[in-house]
Amino acid sequence: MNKYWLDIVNRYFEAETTEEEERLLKRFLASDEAQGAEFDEARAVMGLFATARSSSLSAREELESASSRTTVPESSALSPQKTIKWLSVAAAVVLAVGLWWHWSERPTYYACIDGVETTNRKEVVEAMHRSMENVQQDVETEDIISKQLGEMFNSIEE
Amino acid sequence: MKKILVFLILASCQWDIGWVHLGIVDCMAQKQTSVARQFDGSMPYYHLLDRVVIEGGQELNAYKLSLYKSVTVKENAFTPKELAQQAFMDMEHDVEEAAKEAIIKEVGHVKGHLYYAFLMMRQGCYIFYQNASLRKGGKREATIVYMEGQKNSSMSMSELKRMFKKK
Repeated sequence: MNKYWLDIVNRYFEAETTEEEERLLKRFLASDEAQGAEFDEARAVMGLFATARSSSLSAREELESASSRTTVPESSALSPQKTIKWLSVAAAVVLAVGLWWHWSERPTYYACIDGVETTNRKEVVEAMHRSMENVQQDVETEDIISKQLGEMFNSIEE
Repeated sequence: MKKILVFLILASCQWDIGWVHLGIVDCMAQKQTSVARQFDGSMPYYHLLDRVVIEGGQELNAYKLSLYKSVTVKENAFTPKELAQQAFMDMEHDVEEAAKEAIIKEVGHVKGHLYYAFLMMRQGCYIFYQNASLRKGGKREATIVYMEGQKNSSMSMSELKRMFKKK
């Protein structure tokens, strides 16, 4: 029996034991059956490792519990509320551009006569016709052309 | 980003409200003519002028026009004489300058002053002018008309004059 356990101890020092074997070995070393001097060294080493392991285990547990308490960083994806907000802004821009396009294509009517402004289509068209009459070539203008041409030819003849 | 979008929205609304200004309506004009200052509101007598703007619309289709603008200065009891005189002189000067650049022109002078002008600045861009005060018994007024033809329209100036001619 001791040979079995000594073999386990040797393998323990060679780092060839499994966790189950280490557990059993520890239990054995703590019992009355492992009181011999050949197990003192193993008992001493396992005791030290047990202390170190327990302290590292507690540290790891603390770290894991601490990390579980930290806040998860915000996802880079937009929240639904922000998405809706930006979609509404984009819709407003599209609407504004559409309205501008619609108004820019409509005919323009504007007149200011004797200081009175109007955009009434009929009134503006009437004003247009009156201004057209102002620049129409009338009979008197044609007389002026004839007169000037005549003066030109007369001067050539002279 | 949000501020830029808000600014774009406000700017588009402002453009929509502020289009009724003679100076920016002639979107087809590729080059400013000498008479442009009579239409852009920069002259001190601008508020005294009778002004007409029609852009688009069925009424211009008969003349194959896309834009019609006119300004008329009238000397009467309500207009300060000095401003009216300045307007007469400036209009005559601007039309004379435009005539120098016109590709087709017909002008008439009376007593050393420009009485009338029919100018084609380029294909589809026309300026008509008459100073009625130089006519015997004529009204104390002068008119400049600026017109732009429709796209793909090859109307000649004589055709346009015939449309304007008194019947």
